[in-house]
This record gives sequence, C-alpha cells and structure tokens, in this order.
Amino acid sequence: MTAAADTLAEPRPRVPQRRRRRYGAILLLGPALILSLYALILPMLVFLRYSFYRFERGRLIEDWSFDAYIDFFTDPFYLQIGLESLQIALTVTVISVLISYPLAYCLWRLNRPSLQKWLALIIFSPIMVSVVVRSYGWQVVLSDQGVVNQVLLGLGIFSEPARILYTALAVIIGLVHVFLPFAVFPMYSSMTRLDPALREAAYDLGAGWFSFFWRIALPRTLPGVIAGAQVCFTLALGSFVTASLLGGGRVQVFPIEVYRATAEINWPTASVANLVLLILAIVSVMIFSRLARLVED
Amino acid sequence: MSDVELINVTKRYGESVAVRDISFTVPAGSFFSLLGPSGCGKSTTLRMIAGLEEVDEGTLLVGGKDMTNVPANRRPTNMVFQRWALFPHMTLYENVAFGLQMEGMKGAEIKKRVTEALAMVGLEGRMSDKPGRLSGGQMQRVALVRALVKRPQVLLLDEPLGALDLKLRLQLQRELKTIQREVGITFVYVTHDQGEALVMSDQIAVMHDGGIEQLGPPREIYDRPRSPFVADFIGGSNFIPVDVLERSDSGLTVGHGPLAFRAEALNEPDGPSGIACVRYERIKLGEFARGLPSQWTAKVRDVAFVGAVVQYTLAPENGGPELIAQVPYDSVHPIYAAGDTVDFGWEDAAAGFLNGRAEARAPAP
Repeated sequence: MTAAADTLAEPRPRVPQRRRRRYGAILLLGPALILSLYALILPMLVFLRYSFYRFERGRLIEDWSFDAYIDFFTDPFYLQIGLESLQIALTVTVISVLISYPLAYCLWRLNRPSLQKWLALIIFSPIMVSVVVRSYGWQVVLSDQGVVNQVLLGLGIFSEPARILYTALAVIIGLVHVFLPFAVFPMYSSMTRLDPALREAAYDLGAGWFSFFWRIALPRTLPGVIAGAQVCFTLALGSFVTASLLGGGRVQVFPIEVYRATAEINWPTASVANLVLLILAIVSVMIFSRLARLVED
Repeated sequence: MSDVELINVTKRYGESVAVRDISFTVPAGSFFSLLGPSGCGKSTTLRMIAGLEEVDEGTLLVGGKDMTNVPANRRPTNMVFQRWALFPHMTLYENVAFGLQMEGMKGAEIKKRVTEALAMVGLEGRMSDKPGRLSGGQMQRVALVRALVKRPQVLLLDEPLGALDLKLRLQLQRELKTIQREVGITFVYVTHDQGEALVMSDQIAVMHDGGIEQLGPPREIYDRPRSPFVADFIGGSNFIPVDVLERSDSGLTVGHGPLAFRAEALNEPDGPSGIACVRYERIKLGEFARGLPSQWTAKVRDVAFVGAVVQYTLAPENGGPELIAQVPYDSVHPIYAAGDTVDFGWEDAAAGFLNGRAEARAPAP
C-alpha cells in the first residue's frame, strides 16, 4: 500500500467549536426542558414521595415507610401482573415485527409510487382513529357473535364461539394493530437508506433474491427492526386503554393496576407499581440500545 | 474471437433514448473503453452488458452466447461499481468470498482464492477489517478483486477511479492495466476522462448522445478524429472554419482568409466548406516553425504556464483566427511573453479537415 492511499484514511483534526453556539443550543432546548421538568420529573419525584406513605383502612398516612414496597414485592398477585405485562408486551413486539418486516420490505421493493402511497396510508390508518373507537371496534369484531367467530363457526373449525374478547389474545390483537405503523416505518426508513448499488453488486456476484435478502438486506436493516421493536415493546408495556377495553378487567397489567390503586386512593401502591413500570421500561430501552449497537457494528 | 458483441442495441427510458442502435465488438483479452461525457449512454451500455439494465432492442452476446435475456446473476460478467458498493457489514474477506459462495464453491477453495486475490493488491493483511476502515484507493482495490476473484469472462468497470484524487488515480490506472495484462481477462471500462481512456485502452469507443461517434485504438482516435465532437472531446484542438480551395489525390488545400494550408481529410470531404483542426501541440513556434510548409507570423496575446507545457494564445498578424499553441516547458524551447511577435506554423500532416458545421466548436483554452 502506498503512502498516498494511506493518508486518505487519516482522521482530520477536530475544529474547536465556539462556546457561543452551545448557549444557543440550550436556548432551543428550553421549552422541552421546562415541559419535561414540570410534566415528567416533578411528578416522578412526587410519586417517589407517595411511595413511602402508608395506606391503612382506606386512609393515607404521611410517613417514611417501606410498607408499600414490601407488600408489592411479596404479594404473588403483583408478580403475576408483572409477568403478564411482560408476556403481553413481548408477544406484541414479536408479532408486530414479524408482520411489519415483510410489509416494510414490500413497501420498499414496490417501484410504483402511487401504490406505495396507498399502502402507506393503509398502514398508517390505525393511528388516525381514536384508541377508544378502535378498541370498541375490535370488541365488536372479536365478540362471541363477531365476524371472527362467525367465520370460525361457519368454516366448522369450532363448534361453539371461541372466547377471544376479554382475554390476553384480544389485547394482543388490538395492540399489534395500533403499533403496526410504529414498527413498519423505522424498518422502512432503514431499507430506504440501503445503497441500491449493494443490491446490484450482490446480483452481479451471482446472488439470487434470497441470498441478497439474507446476507445483505436483513443485516443492513436490523437497526430498523430493533428500533421498531423497542417502540412496540415500551408502548405495549404502558398501554392502558386497549388493555382495559379489550381485556375487560380480566387481563391484569401494570397500567390497569396503577389505575385501580389510584382510584382506591391507595397511592403508595400505585406509586410503587408505576416506578416498577418505569424501571422496566428503562431497562428494556437499555437492552434494545445495546442490541442496536451490537448489530450496527 | 470476441468476448462481447452488441448488435443494434437500443435502450429507452420512457420517451428518451439512452442508447440508440449501437453495434460493436470487444476483442477477447483486450482493454476496451467506452468514453464520453455524462449522459452519453456509456454507463447504460455497460449496465446492459452486466444485465443490470434490460436491452429494449437488439442482441447482446457475451463469449459468443446470447445473453440478451439472461439475468445479471447468471452472466459470466462481473462489475466494479462507481462507488465500489462494498458490503459495509462484511469484512474484506467476506466481501471477496461472497461471489464464490454464491457459486457454491467449497470453503477450502474459497479461502485459497480469496487470500490469493487480496494478496494481488497487497491487502492480505487487512482481511478481517471492514470496508469503512479503508482509504478510497484500498476500497477500489477490494472492489476490483471482489469481481476478479470470480474469474469472469469479461470484467466491467464503471468509472471506478472517478471518486479518487488525481495522484492516486494515475497510480491505479497503471495498476489496473498491469492487472489486466496479468489476468488476461477482457476489461470493458467506462470513463468520461479522455486521459484515462488513452492511457489504458487497446480500443476506445467514443460515445455521444446515445451513439458511437468513433471506435478505434487510442492513437487513431487522437490523430484522426472523424467528427468535430471527437476532435474536441479528446485532446485540445484549434478549430478553424475553412473553405476547400483545391482537391487532389494527396489531400486538400483549405483556407481561412489569408491562411491557406494543406489538410488531410478525416471524413468524407464532399462539402465546399468545413473545419480544419490542428492540435495545440502541433503548432511550432520560432525557429521550430522555420522551413515548415505552412508558416505565418503572430503576436502572442496571452501566455499560460501549465507546468509541463506552456500555452500561448496567438493572434496571426495577417488577421486569421486566434490559435492556441502548446510547447514543452524545457530548456530547448524559448519562452515568449505576451506582446512578442513570433513565427508559427505546422506540418502538412498536422491539419485535418472535417466536413461539418463550421460553427461546431469554439477552441477551448
């Protein structure tokens, strides 16, 4: 290798930035900082404080006690809620990714812009409808007399209506439907960033479509898959409306438990459940970021 | 024996015609260049040979077999892409091995071939690096061996040196030519850089507006351009609008105002007028002009020092068109200053006559 070629690879020295630019940046961040301080950090601190209160015979007692924590972590009921929450979120994530990736791939490979536009619109449609309306829609579809059961009965797959509504399955179906666009678009955008010459190079070197997909497209778009999965997982973990309307009180997840405890003025328990939910979300984000770094390397 | 043959090939994009009815053959084992300005159809032609673009009309043969409708992954051709298109998530080894794995070759054989190939360009020590850690020149070399390792019948190169700086480009030109001679594979090379094409090619096809203007070895293209476009695109030429004064078996006598000189007809000299082209470096100055059949006097209007050569803009004293002369910068040729009066002239063989519109090109400095 020659000297001329090697010097090309040398990193350029960093140009020192002027300090004034940093103040400007803080100014731009101002509104967001104030909003998150007021609407996120302060309430969190208040929650933290409440978690040390005691709740006895329907009354709140101001205190510094770990009662709520001990209750929460020793009661198998809460462990059950935790497991169910994680299980639903994980299932929703896996199904969303499995449905979204082929969809995104198809959207990307379509070279008809008009068709692409319509498909994108259909994919986006779930978030154009309010979550409450959408959930009631699913209630109708999934009920004992709903379309799904009529088809299953009509085809003779089941002899009596399958119980779908007010089960974890209904919640999962509802959530997958909402999260589809959130999963498709990170994947789609990672695909559009793929250099078209890589595809030509792969074909030119003798690859068929599967080899191209498996060896080039999939590895190059994994960051998009992880981003989509992360969004699905965290949103699913915190979903309340879908879980309560399609779960009908029979599907117990963290947000519903927080809501129930809050309604009973059992603020210490609500706070602890909420903090656990927050920690779960943070841990999952960390895991996903680590994964993202792993595949991007 | 030819490795690539195009017969009346046409390519359209909607209404516009990218390549119109071209036919040519590439001799086996030769270095063949498609040269032309951007938009002339040279890359499209190359991509049709690769199978990355469909042929709309005509027939395409590679190695004597009809490849017109054979997909890219089943053609005995491999391509070096403009920006190399190395797989960024794979190591150099994996990049070069990819094409062999696609052939279903066994692991041990792949290892041997890949190692050999990377050693050929001095990168065997970087096998487990990813392309992102390489310099432009190194990436170019990897792209070259990734295609060559498949031992294609024809190697296609789409301006592979375009993204590199000048020094490195010159060095890689020599390397490419050497490698081509060693492996003996037919190279079809696309470039807009006439210098590059002249240095490396056995044959050059000059393309313009979707068609082939002229096809021949570099010196023939340079010395005997058959159209004003080719004369202008390759090298530097003075274009003098002239009338044909006299025709004879040995050539023509042409004139522009007071300048009258003999010229060789480069295309069919049937019209009464056309343009004469004289290469910058064919115009001799001062004592070197003495005794030449065509000789006049001019005032030096402008001097440009280029490095290896000095360019003078001359205004002939008897009122001819302004001409550019280029003389070597050495201890033999004297240096003139603007305002000097100098004799100039050229040999009979230096002037060519092209039948064509006289206003075709203005001389570009």
